Amino acid sequence: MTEAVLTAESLVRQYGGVRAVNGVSFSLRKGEILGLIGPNGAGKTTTFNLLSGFAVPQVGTVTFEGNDITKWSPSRRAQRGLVRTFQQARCFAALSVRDNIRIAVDALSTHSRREQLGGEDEGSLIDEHLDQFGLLAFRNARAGDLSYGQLKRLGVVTAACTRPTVLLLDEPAAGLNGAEVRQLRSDLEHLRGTLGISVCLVEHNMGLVMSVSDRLVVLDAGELLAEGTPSEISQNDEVIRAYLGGDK
Amino acid sequence: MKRLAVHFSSPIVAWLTFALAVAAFCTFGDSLAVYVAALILAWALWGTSLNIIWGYAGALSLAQMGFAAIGAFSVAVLCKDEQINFWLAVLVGMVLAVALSVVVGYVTLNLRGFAFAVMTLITSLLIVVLLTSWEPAGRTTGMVVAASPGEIIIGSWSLDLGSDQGLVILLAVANTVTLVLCGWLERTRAGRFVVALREDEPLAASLGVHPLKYRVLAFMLSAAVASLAGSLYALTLKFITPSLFSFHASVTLIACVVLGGLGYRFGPLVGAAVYIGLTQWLHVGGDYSDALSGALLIVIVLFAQMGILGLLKQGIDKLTGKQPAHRHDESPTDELETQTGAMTHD
Amino acid sequence: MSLDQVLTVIVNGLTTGSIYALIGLGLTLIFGLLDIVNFAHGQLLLLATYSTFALYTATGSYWLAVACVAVAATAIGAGLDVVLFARARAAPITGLLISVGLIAIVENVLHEVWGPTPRDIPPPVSGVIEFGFVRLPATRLFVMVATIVILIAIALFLKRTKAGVALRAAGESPEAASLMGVSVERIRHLAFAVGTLLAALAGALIAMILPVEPVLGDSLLVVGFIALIVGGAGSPLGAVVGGLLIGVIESIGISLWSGTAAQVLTFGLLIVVFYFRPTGIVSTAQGSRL
Repeated sequence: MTEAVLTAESLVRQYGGVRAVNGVSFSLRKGEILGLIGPNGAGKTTTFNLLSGFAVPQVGTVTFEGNDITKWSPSRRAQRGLVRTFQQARCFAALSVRDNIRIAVDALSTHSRREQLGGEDEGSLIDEHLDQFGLLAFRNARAGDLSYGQLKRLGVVTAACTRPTVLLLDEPAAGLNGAEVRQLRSDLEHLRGTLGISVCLVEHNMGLVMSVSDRLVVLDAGELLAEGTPSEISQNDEVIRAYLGGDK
Repeated sequence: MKRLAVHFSSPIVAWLTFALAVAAFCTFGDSLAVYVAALILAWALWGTSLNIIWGYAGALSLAQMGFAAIGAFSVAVLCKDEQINFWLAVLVGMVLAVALSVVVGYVTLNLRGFAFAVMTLITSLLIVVLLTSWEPAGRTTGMVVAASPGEIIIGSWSLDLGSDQGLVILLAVANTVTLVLCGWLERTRAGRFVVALREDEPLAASLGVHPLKYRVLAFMLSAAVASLAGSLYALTLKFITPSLFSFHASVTLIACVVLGGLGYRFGPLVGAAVYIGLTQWLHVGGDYSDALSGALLIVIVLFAQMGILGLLKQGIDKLTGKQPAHRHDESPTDELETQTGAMTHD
Repeated sequence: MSLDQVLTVIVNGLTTGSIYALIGLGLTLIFGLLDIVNFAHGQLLLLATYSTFALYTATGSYWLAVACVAVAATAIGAGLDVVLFARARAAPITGLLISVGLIAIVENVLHEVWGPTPRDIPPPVSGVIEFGFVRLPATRLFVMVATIVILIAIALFLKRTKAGVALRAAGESPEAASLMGVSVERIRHLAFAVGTLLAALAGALIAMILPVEPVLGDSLLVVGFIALIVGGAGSPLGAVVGGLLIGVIESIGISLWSGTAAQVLTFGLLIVVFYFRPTGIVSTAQGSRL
């Protein structure tokens, strides 16, 4: 079995009287795309925040490449190679597309993984990234002027440019049209295949997540409901019930 | 409104205007005009310190008064009786201010906008309170500033920097150096990080940019500049009291920065020129000039947040046919707002 | 120090503290619902003080003066919110800046109309009352009783009246409240009005124990902030507790050392609370709004 690169163990996160996440454990294996799904209110976003450092669990641990990162800040996790995107498309609006990517490359160069930069000159490196994702034409556009779909793409691309080991994607397909979702699917394959990034995504778009994920983790009411390959999950009675008939 | 990393097509225009204005004031101005010019430049420098932490880094700080007070009283106290060289005193002030900013910064720069503003306000007030009870600072009656910044001698031409014109030149140079420094920093990695953190802190953090570290760096720089401004301000006024650095200075300071255009490098200079010019030179409003300033601030904040330079840029963009930018957020984001740690939850 | 001296210090502290509590409470109500801290709170308080004095001198009746000022303050508070602060909902810093501008305006006016010299305002009650060990000036007793009455009134308002409950609901969750038919905008106007009313009442009372001068507004504002933060931003009870605590500490500081020391102590309290319990001494269920 491939080794786990990111592990959540018995995570519990309580807000007031509500246990948003109640004892969730699972692993992301190296080189895989893991889908985190579940009905609304299942605790996916909270789990996601716990993995990415935007929330701290009251119980449980998060392990990344053998290190206990449970209490680490998001920026510290990112510096070690664990990066997330956001559900609402975010960017540095006042900066150009190129400068947005530049921040990612700058961030990479400030820390211990800077050898990943390979000693190339920054400028051409950024252009190379842009080219890889077909954004070279947009490079001088003000990020705030892009369409929603383009912004979401930029978010994924920017995160990928920090050469992370693990990329956590928060509903990457939310707000995208059909063509954009197809583009996203090919981006995900590219991330995993060419760039060797392990991906975990929270997603509601069943078509996308079923087709692109190697494995799925299903949450319901803060607990782990099921785990397995897409075909296993789609035949799992409990999962179907949890979704009230499911939606594809 | 676009903040930061925006000059007009070329800053040469700005520099030329600046140089010409300074030269004109020094050559043709009467003593009041020269004095006002010095005041404008002092407030401009002070405003730049606020612009660094607020315009660039996105955190409204009310500690600038305290930092300036440190600079002002370092000079006044240490240079009394000509004991210590003026520039050494300035340096001492800057070191003290920076040290304080590190402590305060690490504790408070995590906080949301208003909390940070309040904590920095309290820092300033604490400094003022301590100064009013400190004997060497003359308590509430204040002290005379008897420092002398020295002379420049080139061949047979000499300029006493402590004279009215000399001060204007000195302040102009200080402003120039600071603005050039800011321009350079904008292009460094740290400068980009500071802007990124202001634009979207969670995003920057998620990419690996350490939020606190870079904000504290910006805060340290703003403290150093504020202290320098305070020292030179003391020199200009020749008599200072701690109450000069209390809450009220913040109204003027904020007004100068916002009026000129928050985040624009030359904003504080423009804002101070207009604001101080109106109140100190033309005495618009007379006894009610403070009230007028307050009203002006409210009007700007509500209707023209981008300030003079911002409006100018909008005008130029329209004329050159550039499309106005629109953001794709659902909620309107106010230009002056700072969001710390804001995130979307499901 | 003898027992009655200690008691006097504490009682004095509680008296000023109760006024601080009123100020902090007013700020909290505004902050809790509008997310802005009204920096002009202190100046509005002073405006009330000077106005009360002027009306009292003109009519000879303290109660009439207070009543008029109270009504005016409520109206002004609502008016300020409707005209100015309502435009700053999306961005609290804008509201902060508006309030900073307001400070300049009000203070200038106060300065021009009444002058900068401190004034002693003749209180409506006088004399000294003895309680066993403690000799208490009637003014201080009046202030304490008055603030207790006001606080009870506010508590009843918040718990028992429809408007008060709506106010609390909107403070906890504006979305839920508006879904229940509460006009959240109106509630905000109300919050600002009530907050300003509390400032005005504090202003009417403060003249009894302190000489009044324009710069007083700033120091009272700061105390209000500290009460707000020490109490746990957003918790009315916290603001009251915070205010009382500050009053007592200040009183101790003044009697043991000096006014300056007292101020430093107060700031020190803030820093200590902030460092060890950032949610404040009494925190709300949701934790600190800071």
